[in-house]
Formats: sequence, structure tokens, C-alpha cells
Amino acid sequence: MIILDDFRVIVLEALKSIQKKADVSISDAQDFTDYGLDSLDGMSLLLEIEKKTDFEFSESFDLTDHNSIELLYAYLEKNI
Amino acid sequence: MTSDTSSINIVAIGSYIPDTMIDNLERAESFNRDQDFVTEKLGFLKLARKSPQEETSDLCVKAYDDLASSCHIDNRKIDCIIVCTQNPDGGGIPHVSAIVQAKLGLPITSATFDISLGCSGYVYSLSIITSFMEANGFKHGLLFTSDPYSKILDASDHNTELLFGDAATVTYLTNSLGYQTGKTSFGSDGTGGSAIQINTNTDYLEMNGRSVFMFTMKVVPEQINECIINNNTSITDIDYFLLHQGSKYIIDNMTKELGLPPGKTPFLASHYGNTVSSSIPLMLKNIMQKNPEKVLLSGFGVGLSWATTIINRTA
Repeated sequence: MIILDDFRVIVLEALKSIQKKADVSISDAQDFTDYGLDSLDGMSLLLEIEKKTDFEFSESFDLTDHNSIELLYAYLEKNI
Repeated sequence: MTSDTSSINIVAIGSYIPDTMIDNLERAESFNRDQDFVTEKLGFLKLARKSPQEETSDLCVKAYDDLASSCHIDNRKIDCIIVCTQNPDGGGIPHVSAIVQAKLGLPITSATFDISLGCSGYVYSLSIITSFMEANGFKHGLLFTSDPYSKILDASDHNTELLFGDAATVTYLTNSLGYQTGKTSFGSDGTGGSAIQINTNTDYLEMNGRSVFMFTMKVVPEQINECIINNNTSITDIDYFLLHQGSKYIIDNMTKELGLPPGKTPFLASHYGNTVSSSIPLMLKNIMQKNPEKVLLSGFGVGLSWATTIINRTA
């Protein structure tokens, strides 16, 4: 199971690519939607996580129910 | 899996896009979307809509009228007629191509059949019609795409209602010079079929956008790279990459994933929408005017199904 620090790096790198920014700053508890991600950005984020972790989100998975770094990490911990 | 080349060439393409348009920018708010989302992510500012009285075959006829107005075609010589659609006239029997054959007065000696495929349909159908024509010594064929999704959309479903537009195309293929299909790569995964399907309770189309996006980004780039290798060419030698216009977001992400020059992956559907199997031939008709040497075509979607080929100019 990937550790939280490494997972955070994956998410931050994904956000940089998605938002086309050299630097991003988001806390573990901050809501992705409040940060400015829309539904399509969310798809890209999940794709990047899948690529970097070999985890596959189920078809029924809804990012809005796990809408921060810490919630997303908790989901992975529970389902890997 | 790949297939070999053919001597049958694409000579011309006709098209029909209905005049009635839905303005996505005007209604974005009602779907909890802002205008930037429509412009920068979806990319579809307007969606074409056929009239309720127009049938799938009627769109084909209008595409043929466009073809006939721009190129000399002797319809007495037509050997085969194929229609790619998953939304046929009426109840689906008889097949749309038979109805089109009758409406256009095409020869009763022509081989006429439908192909049930969606967004991968044009690339699959190109391979089928060229092989079929070669195998039977045919010299003049018509490949129609006409899949008006307005027949099956739930106007309240933002997953689908903001995406699809109606249109039809017809590709005229002969044994003279034009654009020749190279080796085609195919793919199918029915286990993902529920990502785009008809809800049998409502008869409306339903789509899991995330599943479709994930599938597209995982399998299609790999197939495109395989197709390039199988056709003994390289990214730099290809003039245009015509990717199915699922959304601007998909095109932008695919372009980035493959490392393609953005100028080579056009997004041309902003004023009519995702027209399913008509998506690629609509672009190809436009791009052919620039006389490119080599064009990659990649269609992907419902099935799940995907196919990629490269066409080369022989004229």
C-alpha cells in the first residue's frame, strides 16, 4: 500500500498537469471542488492515480464522496 | 489484430448537418455548468438536431445530395451501399441501407447492408467496405454514416444531452486514385459495454462519462501507436490525426498523452456536436481539401469498441 506522502505527491503532480500550473497548493483536507476541479478534471485525476498506483476505481466510484486527498487516500486504504 | 491494405480509394465525401441548432452556451447554467466548461472542456457550443419528421435514411439521402453536387457520380454504377448506424428508421426492419437504396433509386444489383457500430463505426466500416469491394470486384461503393442520437437522448440528462449532435455523411469509394486505407487495428471489450447503453426501462441512452474517459485514455493511445508501427510510418510523417470528437477534453488529453503537435489534432465539432460515426468523415471531408499525404483516423466508443487506420493519398 502506497504511503500517504507518496500519494500526496501523485495527486499534486496530477493537479499541476490538469491545471497547467508549475506549482499547486492544496491541503489534505481541502475539497477538490472548492479548489476548482470540475467533473472532467476529476476524471483526469483518477486516471493519473490509477496509472501511478495500479489501483482501479470501480465504475460506481464517485469522487464527490471522497473529495479530498485524505478521503481519497482512506478509500484506497480500505479497498486495496 | 490488424488487416492488410486495399486498392479501393476514398474519392469524395458528402455530408448533411441539419440547420436546427441547440445553443449549449445559453443552456449551460440549467445543467449546472458555466460557459468556460462548455467552451474549454466540452467544446460543443452548438448541437445539430434533425427535425422530428426526418428519419435516419433521410439524413443519408441529404448527404448523398451533397456528394452528387460536388462530384460526378453515376449512380447506375453503384455496386454496394453500406449504412453504419445504431438508430435505424422506425423499428429497424427493413435495414436502413435498403431504404436508402430505394429512396435514391440505386441499382437493385447493389449489395446493401447495415453495420451496427457507433463511434468506432467509420474506421471499422472503411475496412469492411474496401475489403468487400475488393473481394467481389466492385468498383463503386457508398459508405453512409447516420446515427441521430437525438432519437434516444433524455433532455434532462446532462451526461448525454450536452454532447451529441445529428449528422450524416457518405463516402464514395472507387478503384481510381484518392485515399487508400492502410493497415487497420481493431479492438473490442464488451465487458465495458454498460458504459454506454440504452436503459431498457426508459429507452434513453445512458453513459458513464468517467468509464468512457478512462477506457479512451487507456486503450486508444496504445492502439494508435501500434497502428503507426504497423503502417511503417511515424508521428512526424502523419499530416493529421483525426480523432473521434467525443469532446474537446478528450482530444486535448489524447493529444497530450501521445505527444502530438496540437495543430495536427483538430477539434472541428464545436458547431454541431459529437455526431457518433459521422464524427471522423465530417472532419475528413474538411481536411481532404488541404490535400494531406497521410491521415490517421481513430474512432472509439460504444461497445466498447475502437479502431485506428492510416489513409494515404494516391492521387
